[in-house]
Amino acid sequence: MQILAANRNLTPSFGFKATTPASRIKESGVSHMKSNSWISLSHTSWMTIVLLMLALPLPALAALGGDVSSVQEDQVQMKGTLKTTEHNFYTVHEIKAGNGTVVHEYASSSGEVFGVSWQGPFIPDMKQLLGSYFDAYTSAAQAQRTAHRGRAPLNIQQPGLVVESNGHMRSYSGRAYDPGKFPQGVSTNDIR
Amino acid sequence: MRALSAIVLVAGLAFLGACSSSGTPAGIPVTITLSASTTSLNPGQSSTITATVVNDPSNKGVTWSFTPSGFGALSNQTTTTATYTAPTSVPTATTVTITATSNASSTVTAMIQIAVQTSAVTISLSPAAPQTINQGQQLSVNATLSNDTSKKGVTWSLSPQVGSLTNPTTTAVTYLAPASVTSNTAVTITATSIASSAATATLGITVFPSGAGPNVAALTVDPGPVPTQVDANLAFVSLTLCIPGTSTCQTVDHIQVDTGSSGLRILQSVIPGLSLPSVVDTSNGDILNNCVQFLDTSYLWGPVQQADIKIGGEVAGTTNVQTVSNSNSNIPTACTNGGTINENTPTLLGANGILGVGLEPTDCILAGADFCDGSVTTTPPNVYFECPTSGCSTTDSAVFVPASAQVTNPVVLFSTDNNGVVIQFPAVQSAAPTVSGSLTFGIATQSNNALGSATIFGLDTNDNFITVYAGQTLNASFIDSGSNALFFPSSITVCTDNTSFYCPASLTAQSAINEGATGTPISTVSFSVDNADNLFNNNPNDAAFGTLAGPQGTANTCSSSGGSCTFDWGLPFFYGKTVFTAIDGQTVSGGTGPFWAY
Repeated sequence: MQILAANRNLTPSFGFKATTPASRIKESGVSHMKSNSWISLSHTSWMTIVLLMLALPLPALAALGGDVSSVQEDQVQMKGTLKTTEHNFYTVHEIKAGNGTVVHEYASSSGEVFGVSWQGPFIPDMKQLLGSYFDAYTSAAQAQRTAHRGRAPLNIQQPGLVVESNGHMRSYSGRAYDPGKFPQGVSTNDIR
Repeated sequence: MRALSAIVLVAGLAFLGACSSSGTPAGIPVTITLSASTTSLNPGQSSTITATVVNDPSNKGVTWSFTPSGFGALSNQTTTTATYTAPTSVPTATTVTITATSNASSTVTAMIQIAVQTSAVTISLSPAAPQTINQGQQLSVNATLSNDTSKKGVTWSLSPQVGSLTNPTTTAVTYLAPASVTSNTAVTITATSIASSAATATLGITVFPSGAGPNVAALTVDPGPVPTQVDANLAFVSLTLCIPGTSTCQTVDHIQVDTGSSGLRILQSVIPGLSLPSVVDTSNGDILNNCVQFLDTSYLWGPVQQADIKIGGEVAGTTNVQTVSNSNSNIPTACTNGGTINENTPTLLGANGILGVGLEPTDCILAGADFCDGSVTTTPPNVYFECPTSGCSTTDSAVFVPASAQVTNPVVLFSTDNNGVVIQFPAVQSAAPTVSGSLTFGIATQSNNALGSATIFGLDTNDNFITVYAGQTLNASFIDSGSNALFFPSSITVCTDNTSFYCPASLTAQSAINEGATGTPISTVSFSVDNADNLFNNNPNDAAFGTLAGPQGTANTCSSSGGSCTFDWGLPFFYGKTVFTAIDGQTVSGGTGPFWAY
């Protein structure tokens, strides 16, 4: 799917105009893939490719709670650059995503990712970043949204998952970790 | 044997019915008793009528009719029941008689009467949306009534008694503002039906001190657009959207004013009759869609469309806005980010739309860097998507688009007063049902938006400044009318049931120092934090809370390498202040945007 993204980009000089609803109807036959001049596959062919891709065994995309090898998958997913820094009790993998957001993944010496953080103009793909923790995150986040009577920074403090995130449009930061998975000698304050 | 005898019996009765003058077995008259689920209806309501027929051995039942003819309808008719539905419009109270006639004996009838009440009187005022006028000015208000059959009209009242009502008639009045007010002053005019005192309509008017002008729109903090849902500290404005260049328009109230974002986002569900033109890619006819992701996994999704936006006396012509789609299907997963909720109803969003009048000219620019046009990023962020007119698919990927196609801060498109906004609110000590303030366009462009003695705070490349609080230097801090409390890292106790807010044992005085991004200027802010549970429980119908605060990350973790470094000065910060938000790249006499000043 990522291949699609790289090739559906518009140049900054790309033309846009407003159309009336009437003319929209007239154009309803336009093919979805028409803008991809680089390839001329029909819808059916694309469907085949998509189905094939879905059928292939996908690597684990999870970062939090995942194996350190998932960091590289995250790097590929985010189309980012990777920098690794060794600390006394853990390793920090810094991914600078193609959209400008920087993600830190904290891995223990045994190779397990126990915390993640992010800072930048866009919220990272939380489903990818939180992996098996994503469902717990979603239900806690939605519960907070429903209870809040307005929109607040996220503050999830559960025994097995902490998520803190905040910011304004085009400037976000946050972190997520599993307090139960911290290696000895590492503090929650190290996740930053 | 039993089946056979039954057939014989029916045949025998049919024969008797055909030959008997009474239509029934001699000496055993049919009797009908009618009952109704209700015998009193309001316009449009229904009542189920049931006939109990005795001595009707072949169970022929009854046939239904009613008078006055054409007044309402009888539906679901069977030989024993029928449903009467009153007309939706009832000019005068009417008694409907429903008659059941025996099918076995047409001389046997029964009647029941249903009283239909008159339609409730309704009043609509013109103007309908909240108004702003200068001190000493006057405003004419007209009332239009429905179902006011004897044309009695309305009486007028004013609350509080600031200014006066002159030349009242039963359908019009003129409000005369006081010659002088010292601060923004809100009054409410109420029209009450003379025929039915339960029918009222109100118009809010904010009177400004001298210097107010057409660059001012009324701001209101109230419970919000959904009557059963009281939101806290959301500042709303009314605006009018028009199909570009036409007089086909709709006025929408309860648009949340957000200085923390840029661009107007309007719910499609609140402008059902307004068909705005979409922005399309001229090369292939594809429609441009916009995505806003929230950290709580909800999001806003819908097409980029164009509208003339009228607010206060200002007009932003042919402005790119996001129309939040009614549909939840076929949204790219790159936008939903694993979330499930497109906040496309007033209940979900807590508003009919969001007016982003923040620091940037579009929703994808930060401090001069455009993240969506391909100039500073190698990957398109999940903000803009191209879809064919037949719709998007979940596998669609984001695209780069130029700034001219991005959702635009309407303020920069005003012909004047386009370099920022000024928000002004009176102080709110604890809780208040509603608060009235003003949204003034332009900074130092008119006599009513001068910077005066306000302190100007410069920002960094993330549009943040510095707040020093409790020994923490929080260098990713910001002022945001769209945040409904003050959010900051602190050791104050967090509420157990709602982890978004602080719950100190009692009202707690706090102070912080705001600094420009370079460390100067500096300004001390005093504020108080109250127990949020108590605030909400003790004031269940109030919308404005001056002492509402909540956590932002973990206290004492901020350092040069990250951590919780944000103090989010939400709407309570605006209470009792005049706060200037200057747009990135715009010239302001006294500085260049972006900056905050207060």
